[in-house]
Amino acid sequence: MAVCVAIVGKDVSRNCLEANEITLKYTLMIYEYSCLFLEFPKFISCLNPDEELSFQYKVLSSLDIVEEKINGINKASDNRELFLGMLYALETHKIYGYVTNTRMKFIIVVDSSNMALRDNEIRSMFRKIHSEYADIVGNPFYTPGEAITFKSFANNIKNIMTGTV
Amino acid sequence: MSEETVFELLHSELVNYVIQNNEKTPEYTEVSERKEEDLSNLEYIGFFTGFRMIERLTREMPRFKDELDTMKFICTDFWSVIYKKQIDNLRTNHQGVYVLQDNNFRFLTRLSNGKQYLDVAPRYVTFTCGVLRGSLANLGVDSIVTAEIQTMPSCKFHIQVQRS
Amino acid sequence: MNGIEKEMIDRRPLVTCAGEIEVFSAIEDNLLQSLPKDSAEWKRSLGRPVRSVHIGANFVPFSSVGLPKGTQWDLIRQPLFHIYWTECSDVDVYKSTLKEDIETWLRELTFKDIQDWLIVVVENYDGKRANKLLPRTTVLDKIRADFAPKQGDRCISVINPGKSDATESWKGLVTRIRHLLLIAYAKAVSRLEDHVRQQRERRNDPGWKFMEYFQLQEELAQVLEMLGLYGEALVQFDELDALFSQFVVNGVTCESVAWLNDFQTPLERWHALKLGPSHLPRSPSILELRAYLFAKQAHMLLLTDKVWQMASRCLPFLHTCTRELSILEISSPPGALECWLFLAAMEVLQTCDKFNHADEVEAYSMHTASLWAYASQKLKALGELCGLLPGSTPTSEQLHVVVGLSAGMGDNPGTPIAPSPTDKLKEALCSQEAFNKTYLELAELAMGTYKHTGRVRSARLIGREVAAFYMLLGETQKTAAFLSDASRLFRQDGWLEVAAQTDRELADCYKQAQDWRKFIRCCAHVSAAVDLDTLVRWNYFDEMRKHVDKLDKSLIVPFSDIIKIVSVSVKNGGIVMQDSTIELECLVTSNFPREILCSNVLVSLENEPNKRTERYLKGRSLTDKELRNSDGGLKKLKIQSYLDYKQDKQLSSVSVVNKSKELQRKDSSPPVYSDFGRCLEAVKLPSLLTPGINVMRLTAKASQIGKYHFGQMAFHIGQLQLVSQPLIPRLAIEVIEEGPSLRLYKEPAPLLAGFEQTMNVIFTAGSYTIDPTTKIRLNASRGLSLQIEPEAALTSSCEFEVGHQEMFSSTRRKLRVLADMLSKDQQVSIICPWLAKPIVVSLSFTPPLTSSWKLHTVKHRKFLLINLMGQCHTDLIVGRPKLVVGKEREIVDKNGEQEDEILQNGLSYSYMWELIMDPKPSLTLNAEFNITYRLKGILMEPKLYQYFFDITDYQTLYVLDATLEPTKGNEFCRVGFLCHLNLSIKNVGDTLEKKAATRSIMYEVLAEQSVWAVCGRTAGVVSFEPEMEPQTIVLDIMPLTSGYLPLPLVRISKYIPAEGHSGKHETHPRLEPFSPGQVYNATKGKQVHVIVTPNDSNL
Repeated sequence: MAVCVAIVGKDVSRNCLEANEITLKYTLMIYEYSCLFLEFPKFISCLNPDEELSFQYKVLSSLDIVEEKINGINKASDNRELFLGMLYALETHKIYGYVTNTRMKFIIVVDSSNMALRDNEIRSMFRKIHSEYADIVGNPFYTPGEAITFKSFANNIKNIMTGTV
Repeated sequence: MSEETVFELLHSELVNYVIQNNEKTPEYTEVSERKEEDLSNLEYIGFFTGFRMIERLTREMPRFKDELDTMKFICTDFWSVIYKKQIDNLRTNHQGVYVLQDNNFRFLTRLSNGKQYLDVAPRYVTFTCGVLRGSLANLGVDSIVTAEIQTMPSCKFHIQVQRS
Repeated sequence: MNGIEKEMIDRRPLVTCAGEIEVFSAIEDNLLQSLPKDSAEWKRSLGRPVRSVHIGANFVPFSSVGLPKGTQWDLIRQPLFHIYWTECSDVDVYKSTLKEDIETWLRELTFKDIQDWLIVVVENYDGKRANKLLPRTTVLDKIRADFAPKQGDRCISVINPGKSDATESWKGLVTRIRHLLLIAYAKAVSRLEDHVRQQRERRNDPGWKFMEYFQLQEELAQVLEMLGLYGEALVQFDELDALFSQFVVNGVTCESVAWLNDFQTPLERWHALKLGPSHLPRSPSILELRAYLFAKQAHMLLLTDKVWQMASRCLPFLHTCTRELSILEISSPPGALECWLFLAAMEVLQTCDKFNHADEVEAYSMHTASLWAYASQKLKALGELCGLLPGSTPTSEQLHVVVGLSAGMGDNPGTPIAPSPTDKLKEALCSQEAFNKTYLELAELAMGTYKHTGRVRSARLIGREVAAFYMLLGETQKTAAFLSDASRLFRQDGWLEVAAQTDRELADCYKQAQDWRKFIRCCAHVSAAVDLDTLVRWNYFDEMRKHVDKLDKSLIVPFSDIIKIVSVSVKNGGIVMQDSTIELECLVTSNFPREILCSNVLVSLENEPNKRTERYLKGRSLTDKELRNSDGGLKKLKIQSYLDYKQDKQLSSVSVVNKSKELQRKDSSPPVYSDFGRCLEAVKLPSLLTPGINVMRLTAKASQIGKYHFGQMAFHIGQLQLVSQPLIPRLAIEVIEEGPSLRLYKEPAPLLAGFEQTMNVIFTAGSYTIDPTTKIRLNASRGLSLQIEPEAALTSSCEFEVGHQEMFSSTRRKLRVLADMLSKDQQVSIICPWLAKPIVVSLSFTPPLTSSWKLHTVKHRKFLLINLMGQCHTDLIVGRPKLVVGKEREIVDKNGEQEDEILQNGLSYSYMWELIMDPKPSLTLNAEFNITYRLKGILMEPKLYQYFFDITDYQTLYVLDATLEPTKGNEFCRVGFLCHLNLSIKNVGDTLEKKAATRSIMYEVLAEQSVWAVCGRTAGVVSFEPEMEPQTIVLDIMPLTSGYLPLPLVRISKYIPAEGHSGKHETHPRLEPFSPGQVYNATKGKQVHVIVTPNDSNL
């Protein structure tokens, strides 16, 4: 059972709108200035919603390590698996990472005391999340880059977290 | 009837639809009188198709090593999934320009075997230009994709990677 | 090896020496040194790779008492190789005593199943001296034959190394011993391994003790270490580590393991790790066991130059220990565990510090950063426990805690220059000052290392903690610096909730610092953070409002996420008249949690620069270079087909091309605050900004012409000014002025020459007022006169004053114009003082009447026909037509007496006179026709219309006649039958002709082809001599239809033959037409009856 799942990625949608410029002749549609978010949290789900903020900090700092792994700072391992393994561990939690070919970052936080979840279980959890994500990207009501607010998605992720799928 | 046929027919109807919409605009001129036809909408439809589709196509792929690795994937697995064949030739100048040549491009094979209908052939490769650009964009490769046809059903897609 | 001390426990194999001990003693030292010098190949069982190892030995005297069995698992601790030494060279001596001694020795070995032995014969003879006959057999041969007939390598002779030339022989001995020893040792290791494996498999048996097993496997590790196989030794320790962890975890979930109880005793000591050589105390605590194990692992890693791995293992190790303590429910005094964790982390860090090679630092920095952070957190926790944090004073209880903790740490003194972690911690716990210093030092090191390794986010998160600490210290400036760095990064990443939390802390910091301006700014952000709790937002919002009122000068705060502009639209289009109102409608979203009253809402207007730089694109204000590398997102391109035609218009190729303009991303940092000197203001002030969408209407008077764009938007709340980013892409507007205009309009009917008519002069004032005394002059072209004053006479030029005129209003003035009949096209130039060039208005006048004349001839008589046509929209009354020809030439009026007649537009009257021929006709006659006319229904003097024309060449010269008759024998002309056309041309007017030249006339039959078919010639030339009879020509012609047909038209022209003789170049013969009146064609009006051929009709 994971305690938190986060999906992080760059927010491309704002760029899109910007490129469309003025659509009406004398009207200027304004879209977010200075807001090209690089590591925009598209989705966060926590078993205990009260803890969300503390998980946000954990996920945020794990992004540093995801970057390291993607950019191959540890060149020793030419590991091209999407699953990045454990990013780092705290006394209380272990944080795992996964990155898609489209540079979406999935983060799973697990309780340190949880011995049942080994790399293989985490990996398969990530795969399921990836599959859900791919479905969402294919959803015509979802604009790529935006935060994911679909209820069904949240439910499915929760099921993956709790291992009921 | 296989799904391939459905895809082909849907694609040609898509082309018709976009062109018909173009004809309603005041700037529209007949094919015979002009050299250029606006295909932006068709390309953008392709762009989003590619952008959304690539997430699913690369789900089982290992992380791409670099740009060339990505292009190789486009030429092989990617092309096979969409067009049931691979790209026949990939060339690059190693400076961000890639030329993908399909000697028997699926959307052109039914159209002609030579120069007939060459004037409208661009319509039938534009969607694919968009699909390429969208897919690459989502893979983190910002590019501009154009195409060139001399004799159907052969087609060359030019990918120009934009580096900022 | 990096200064790491060698292991103290000696795991060198024991080798016994028997025989002549003194022989061995002489070479013992030499042998001890030589053995481990070179490596030997260690072939291993179970398919493991061959290793190259160094092996030493410990030599002991042979004793049959403690001799182990050769198959014992703990052989490794026992003598495992046996050497018999002798220097006997005499075969007889050998036979008598030595042989028996060796036999006894070997028997004992064999009895214990020991096969690892060696017999060494040391030869003392001098090589040079040994030229006398050698004995037939040597002692060595004998020994070999007696004891090792099949294992020749078990016996070896060596030349006493004390002698010269013994090197080769000596080397041979060392290599042999090394080789055989390794074989023996390998067997022993293998047995030990087997034993360890067996023991491990029994780990779940009752009575199995971990510590016993630990020692066993550690022994194996030590053996491997002795052999130089540090990596494999590490594996042994890692296995122990994992095994222990597993027991602890399973101990909780499964049934408890008895031996684990030994560890479940309260903690009493929390000494440092003591990396480097260390002993495991008897019945260690779990921390001591863990520390020992980690020290061993670290030692192996350092021996293999893997400092970074030691660093990377540290944190997981500490987490494991913490977890195990809690799983095993081991109680410890508060803070004791933190002390230990701190010491452990610091020790590892200190060890890392010893390795300062750039590559090493680079490699371990990745891991030490989190260790520094960990150590600082642990220290902070201790600080809290002991009341050492800034702002608190330790209670006596807390002082006791410190004493207790310090005692539990034990002593591990370092040097004054390099105090040990224990020293440091003790010091830090002693005084607040030292504590602060140590904590900040560690935290800053953590931040610095994170930054160095590129983990910016982690660095900023530490920054928040440091900020909190500085906040306690009251150093708000430092607090603010760390917090704003963090907030900025989080915002950049799009983690708005985290950023908002940080902003909240920042606001509290500014409040404490009483930096009200920054406090207000921060409050604005916090109150607008949608992720925060509403109550919190209200609180900060109210605080902001309260302090805004106290501001003494304006405070500018960028919109950021507080207010978002959704759209801006110009209500009156892109072009605005000067002095009219620019209207702008802005849709904005307010994220404030409550309504707020804005004292002013503005949008600045900026002059459009000549060169637009950021024109079509949204500029980006982020300067981070990473942002520049970000991809282009989902932009739509302008895609077109392109057809490439060859020169021959053939399509050579087609393409799909991109016509989008290159999107340039400019990282221009926009001016924070544009000039609001020229701006639009909200229509309604004060304006209420409610949470959510607001529509703001702004206006401004367009006082100055020019091109502008909208710059920035601003909301003023008292002295607080919220200002947006520049509105890009630029929305442009142009303010233009419209000058006054003058127009000349005519009445709907066309202008007539000869009548006075009125036109309208319309003056329209423009976007600005004009001096009422300004004069406008109208100049007429020649033949045109005009007047604007109602009563004054018509003149060629007049002027008027514009008078008072409202903007955009117009006045109409009547202008009288009169054009003479002579020219049709006239113009009026209007000269306005505000225009450089006069306005030229072209006017076209049509005469009221037009006329034409025609000369008709009957033989020699001449008639003049005048046609008069009305051109005037109003009916004209014409009368008294009169014709005067030449100088009193006689004419006969054929028109009779006439009343005045009404001539309507487009209708015509004809008048006719006969011109009586003068016996002396002149070549040209001047004629004038005139008639009076006036407009019907208007009282006016009749005007005289005059029409002048010349009559020339009017005398009849030739009379042309023709008859058509059937061919002989035929009574009628029939369709399809040949007829004769008899053409007769008669010269009648030779009186005026000069007699000299022969006149040539060309005739042409211009028969209509559907009626007549001319057979044979159709044209010809005839010559007239003076006084000659009429010429007759007969032509064949065939009628094609029946009925009364007009005769075919015959035309005659003057024929001027080519003048071949005189000129240098021949001229072609040419034709010249006669003027009307010179030829009388009598055939006009003649008809011939052609009847249908009867035969044909029957057919």
